[in-house]
Amino acid sequence: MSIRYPATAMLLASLLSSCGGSRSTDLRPEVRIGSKKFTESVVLGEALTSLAASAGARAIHRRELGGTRILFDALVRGDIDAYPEYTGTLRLEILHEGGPRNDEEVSRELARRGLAASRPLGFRNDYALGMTRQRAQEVSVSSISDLARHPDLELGLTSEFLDREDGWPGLARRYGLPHQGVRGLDHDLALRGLITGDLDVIDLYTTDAEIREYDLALLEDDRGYFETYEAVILYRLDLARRSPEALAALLSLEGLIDEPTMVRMNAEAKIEGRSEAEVAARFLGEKLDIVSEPPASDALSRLLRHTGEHLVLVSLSLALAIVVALPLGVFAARRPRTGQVVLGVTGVLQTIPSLALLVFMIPLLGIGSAPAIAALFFYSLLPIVRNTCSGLRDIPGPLLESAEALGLPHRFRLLRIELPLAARSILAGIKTAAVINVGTATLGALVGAGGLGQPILTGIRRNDVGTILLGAVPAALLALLVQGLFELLERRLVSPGLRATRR
Amino acid sequence: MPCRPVPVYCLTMIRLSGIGKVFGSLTALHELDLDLLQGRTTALLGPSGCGKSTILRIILGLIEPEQGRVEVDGTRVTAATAPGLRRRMGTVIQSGGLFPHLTGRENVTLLPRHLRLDPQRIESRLQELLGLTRLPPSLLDRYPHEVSGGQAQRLALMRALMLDPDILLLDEPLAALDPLVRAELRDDLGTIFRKLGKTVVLVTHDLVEAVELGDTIVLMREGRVVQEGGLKDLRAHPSDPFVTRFLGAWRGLE
Repeated sequence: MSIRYPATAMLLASLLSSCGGSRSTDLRPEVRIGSKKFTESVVLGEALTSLAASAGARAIHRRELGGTRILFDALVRGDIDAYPEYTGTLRLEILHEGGPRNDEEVSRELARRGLAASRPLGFRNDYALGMTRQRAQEVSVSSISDLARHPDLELGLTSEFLDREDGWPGLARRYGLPHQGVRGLDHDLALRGLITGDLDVIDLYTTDAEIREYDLALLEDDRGYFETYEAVILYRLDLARRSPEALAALLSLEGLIDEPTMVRMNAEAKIEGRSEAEVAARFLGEKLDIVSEPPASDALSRLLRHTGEHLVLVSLSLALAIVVALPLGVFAARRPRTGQVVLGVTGVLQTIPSLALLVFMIPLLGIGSAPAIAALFFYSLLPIVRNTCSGLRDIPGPLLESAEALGLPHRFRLLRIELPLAARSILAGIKTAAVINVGTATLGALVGAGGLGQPILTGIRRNDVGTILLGAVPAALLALLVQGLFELLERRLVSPGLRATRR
Repeated sequence: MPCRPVPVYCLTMIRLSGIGKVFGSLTALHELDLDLLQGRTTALLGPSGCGKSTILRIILGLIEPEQGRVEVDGTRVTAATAPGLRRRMGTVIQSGGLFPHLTGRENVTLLPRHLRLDPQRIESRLQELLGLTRLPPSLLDRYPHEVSGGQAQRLALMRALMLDPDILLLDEPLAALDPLVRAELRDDLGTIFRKLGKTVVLVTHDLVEAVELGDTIVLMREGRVVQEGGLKDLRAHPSDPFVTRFLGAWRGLE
């Protein structure tokens, strides 16, 4: 390509630097707390955030960041400084290679990565299998061994539990469980399935508020399979240097939360529908006399913020994709052989499941909007490259020859003849990419990118259809809006001479 | 009647010597020699697939022959010289080759605007050519799909003549038109050619067109020149039974 893009290069450079984190004149040390996407973790995350803030730090809560892998990687990279974790998970899931077994080995392994774990917070949140009491009595199951006699029971397990070393694979081996076709699904959806009777057995956390609320029966772990999962704070060692006060404040949570307290807090958030910030604030007020204002934000400003974040994700990724995919499409049209390779590669990118692509991006780009924008960028490439290429290839040969016979130079032909002739196809490709992006960007919330996925995630977690709709409806409207915008653009950019000959 | 005698002072404008062109396993042109004279209309005549359009493409430098050389006004056509030489040649193809996303005016003025010629000069040239091609000015504001086939060809002719080229290359300019329009445009083309006195190369498979418009007829078959000359020469001294057969098809129309 002989065309240079100085302006584009500058835009790219400024985008990349802005993704690297904003500089600020605030001299307070920044402390970033992470939490997993289940209520207990979010409540603890809120509590840790308030504690860090009370110690004078600029505390930021990156809430609901997907699962263990995402959080741990983010901690190792320094995208977050601390998050609530469980000892069993640490031993079996995170540090399983080499298999450290005792506490000393665990802390040595963590220190090697620049990390440390606090002493236990005071409660355990073990894995357990549970059924509704009524169903358990019907089939007379009271322990996990009993399940082996009932291969027809429907099991629904959280996806994480299904794959984890300390989860289903080991459990099925230990007890010789014959169940086939075990479904993997979100924890909160599994709970709902259990209560409605679609599922017979699910995995539970022993601090789940629903256990008491719905009178669930926990199956006895009669062969002692499950680990103990004591809640701890996992933090970066360099926090002690950067903000010793904040670290001390975080660690003041050690031994402070007993199991009934945690169950109660979970119930307040999940069953009474209070915000996690409010629940955490009440707890800190009672136990530590820390007065923290949960950030009051009304629904409208939240909606605007989420929509704004969403638009940034979609528009930045789309702009980058156009800049890259348009020249690629031109190239693919000019060189059919290499073009096949380009189309193949972008096609393969398209088939990577969005969640997987997001998680792949984290080791490279950390958490936040950068990995989400990168993933959306990759998804946008194929439709734009393909449509640019086919739009150019569909131009009738005699027209191309006429342009050449007129004595017009290459670049002029491309910009004034070929691209305008392919404009409708190219625009259609960009439109497809944009509409897909609006939908896929909702997954960005899993890696801390915010956006309209945030209320959807929160709503699913709290079984709150209203909150889900607060994300889903604006996302759908946004998709329609984008569609409309492109119709308008088509009217502007595609010559009337081409519109009338719509094929 | 339209075949004027060849004046002795005529110079060669386009010279093809020993041109060979192969497309895959098909030999399109066999060591072809051809001199096209300045200020005269040469009709390349022959059945489809005889290589006559290939000659136009080679003159324009759109495709490169495997053998031989092409000279336009003394300059050898190469990849380096072709773009410049194309500005001295106006081209019209079968379906006009008008760009559908541009209006008539934008199509016709594409090249002069690209060359940043004086807009007033462009405008006056536009008016001149409207007169020459007998097109109403309102047509300039229409898109190609909004004009008739004959009008599209007249617009294409305007575009080809915009920079007042020395050479005019026409590849089956009338083939896609219905008979009435074709006859009318054919007559107009004859008038225009005579008026402008340019070197014209007309590719056609239609004997009537070749006879009406061509000063010289070059009869081709399977990549070779069978015979060239005026209609009378061809009739009186056919070099090959093919010439007689090809001309015979026209006899009925006389």
